[in-house]
Amino acid sequence: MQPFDNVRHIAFAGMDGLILYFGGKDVTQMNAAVSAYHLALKANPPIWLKEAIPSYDSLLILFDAKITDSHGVYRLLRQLQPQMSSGKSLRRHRIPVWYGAPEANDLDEVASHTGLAVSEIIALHTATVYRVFAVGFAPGFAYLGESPERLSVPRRKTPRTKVPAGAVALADRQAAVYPQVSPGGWQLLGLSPLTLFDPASAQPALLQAGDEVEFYEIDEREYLEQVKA
Amino acid sequence: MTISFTIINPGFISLIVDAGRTGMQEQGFSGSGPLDVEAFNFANWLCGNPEGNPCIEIAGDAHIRFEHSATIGVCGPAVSIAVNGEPASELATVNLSAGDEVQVSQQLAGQRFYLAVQGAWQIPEIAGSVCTVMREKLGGLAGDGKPLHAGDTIQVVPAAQENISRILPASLLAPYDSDAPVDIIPAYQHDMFSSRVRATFYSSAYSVTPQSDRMGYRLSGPAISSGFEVMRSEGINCGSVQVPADGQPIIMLADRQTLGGYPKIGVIAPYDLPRVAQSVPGTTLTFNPVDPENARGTWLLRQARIDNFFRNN
Repeated sequence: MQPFDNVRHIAFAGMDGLILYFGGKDVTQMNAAVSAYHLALKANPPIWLKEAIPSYDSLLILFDAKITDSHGVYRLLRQLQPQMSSGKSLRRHRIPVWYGAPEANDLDEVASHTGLAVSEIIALHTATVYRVFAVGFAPGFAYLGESPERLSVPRRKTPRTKVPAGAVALADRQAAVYPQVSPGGWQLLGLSPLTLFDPASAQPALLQAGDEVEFYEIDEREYLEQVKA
Repeated sequence: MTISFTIINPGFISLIVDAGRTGMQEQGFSGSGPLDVEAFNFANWLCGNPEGNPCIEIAGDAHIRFEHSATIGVCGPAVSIAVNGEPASELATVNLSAGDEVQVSQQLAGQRFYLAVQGAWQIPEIAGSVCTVMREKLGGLAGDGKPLHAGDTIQVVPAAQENISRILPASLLAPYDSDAPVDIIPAYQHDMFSSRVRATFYSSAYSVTPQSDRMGYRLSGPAISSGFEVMRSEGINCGSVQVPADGQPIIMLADRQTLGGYPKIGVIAPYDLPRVAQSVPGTTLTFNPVDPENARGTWLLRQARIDNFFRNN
């Protein structure tokens, strides 16, 4: 199938799936194109649409093969008119973080990997506007990118068997907030009191692909107040 | 009025499943659902339930007590059923009286069958489904992703319906014993595997290993390394055959993670997934590439055959 516009490649993803790969000068730009097509598709969802799964530079579309085939899906995709909004996102979240919370504190390790002082780590982390590239790994787990090059850190040599919910983490040039208690190998900066995942809610995951995220610092007292609230 | 039934012995593993979570993969929920969709649908049909009603997916020999009269259906490859120790006919509706005990057993360890009970199961939905996903600690009786244990009781509001008596012809079941090649649609990174590697894949036999579960079946056979390792994670369709660095393929199934960064050579045609899902460790599989449109034609014919049978019976 012929690529078009920002779509640099299309591949079959089975009898009932197509995957679109987007071009751009960097991941952020590719991901903005993914979001534009994802939003345009969901604004007016065709009856055959079963899943639309966005990721870094791709959008997987699964369809009901009783209703249409890959040609029908391709035709509709070509007619979509995505709003390419210079990569700006519709939703921006501000996430409070108690940096250095004892349950989730790898600040010393991050400092030794980056050569930065703890105060500089926090300053860089809170000055970055992150973008949700994808949600996966576990329900509600959002991959945020990209950290400044100076904040790039390797994963821990030994992953933790138990990372607390709300742990704010870094790996390579990505950031994340663990939505639930789980094992994990990312470096932890602190804890957020925010509930990022509520399975009883109509939209269980707070962070959606394409959203923007900023972090800001709170202290232990504010953290405890917000956890209680 | 509510009826109930109690697990006396869950066998190797018993999980509450339904058609799975739809439209939730973009939030990171696995698609979940039954491993063998056809047997799941047949079990519900046998007891007069609507499509997608919950069932128990059972591996091993299970023993269940019904506190009230109930109508049930059981389906899977090579299953036998006994009611109070007396053999009952397979692939037929079973009407039970209060206090009846049902024992279901299978010939091959590692296969799964489905037990459907007529009526509306009283289980909380999470993200639109009651399906148990152990890895996500979600779904099931208490909503915490735990499998059923001895002593667990499930409440059901029975359907306002006369007793029914349905029989499923064995010829309608998926060809579980077939050793025909499994149809696979070349997909995703297929064209980036060298032609020599692809020829190896399509001409070799791969055996199902014991490292197989609801997330995926690991195969063992001639390695088919892609030669590239760094790939951005992307959405994974059910039945995708992904190939990690060791070159041993993994078939991604119901409880797969929504995103993954391993190259994928293709996706198994949905009509061959029941047979693949019921392949026990040691079974050898071979693969045959098919065009997606041809696969869709075969799949539509199979669906039409099943739909016609349901409509006329």
